[in-house]
Amino acid sequence: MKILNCPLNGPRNISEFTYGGEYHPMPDSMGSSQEAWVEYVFFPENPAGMVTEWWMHTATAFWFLADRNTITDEILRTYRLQDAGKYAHDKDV
Amino acid sequence: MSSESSPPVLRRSQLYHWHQQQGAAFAMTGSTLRVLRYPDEQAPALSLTDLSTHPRVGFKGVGTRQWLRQLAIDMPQTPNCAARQPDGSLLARLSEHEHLLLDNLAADAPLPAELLRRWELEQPSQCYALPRADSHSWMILAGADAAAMMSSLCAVDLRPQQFADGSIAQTSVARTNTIVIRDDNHGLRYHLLCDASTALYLWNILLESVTAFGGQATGLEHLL
Repeated sequence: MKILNCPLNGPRNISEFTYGGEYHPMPDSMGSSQEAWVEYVFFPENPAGMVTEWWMHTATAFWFLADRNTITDEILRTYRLQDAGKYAHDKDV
Repeated sequence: MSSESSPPVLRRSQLYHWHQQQGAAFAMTGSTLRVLRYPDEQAPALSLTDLSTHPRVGFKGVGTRQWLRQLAIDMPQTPNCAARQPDGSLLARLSEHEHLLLDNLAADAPLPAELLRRWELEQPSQCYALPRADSHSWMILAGADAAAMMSSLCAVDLRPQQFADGSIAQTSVARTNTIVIRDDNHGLRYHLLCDASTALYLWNILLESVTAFGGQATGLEHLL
């Protein structure tokens, strides 16, 4: 069984988690164009390589972020949304 | 005449019909039915007890900790830890701002009801009550073999040397989302709380494992 480390609950079997899609910062709710919202809502980039994704620990409904390599399926790290800025610089690992 | 003087049963467990089929002796506390004992109960070393009709309440929101602190409640310092209160009830911290209070099993335990009363009276800012007595079923697994028994149903290591008194695991037990809380107030015990809709499923699975370890379902008297 693959293990994923939940920032709130610690290491758990991957079967306890739900995938939530790619993470992208939300456009400015006041000043963004319709095109920016369409891009945000409907068009994931789906790259081959390191991607930041939403995951949820189902037992606690706790949402967090995971940096995962979509080629090797290696999970580099998991962290809370408020820590997203810390790891933004090395997404291209 | 006697039916007029008896209070109506307003709350019974999701497992009521199972208890009834086993010939359980019930006790009425207020308008709530509780299982006292089963006819074939023999003080087993490993026991499973349904506490679903016992008081419990949750509070959530960024103002929760400040409000509970004002009420002189002993607070768990980190998420997934529980703090025992002076009256024996248990406050479980499920996340940064969500807490769950389980009563002390005594019939006169007032703390969950008292906190709910204070919450309704004071309406603390950014603190919301959660009706955990309605949303979750509550069981307790007691006995030295409890950790060994749980190892076949739960991927989290619940052995006493790894999972300290007061620890909480919110995880999957027999593929059902369950809150597991270790509480050593009266020997090794694990509180298990699951969604009320899954109670009968989880109860049957747990009871099968308990029986394999020589244990039994017991009523409240066994725990007191």
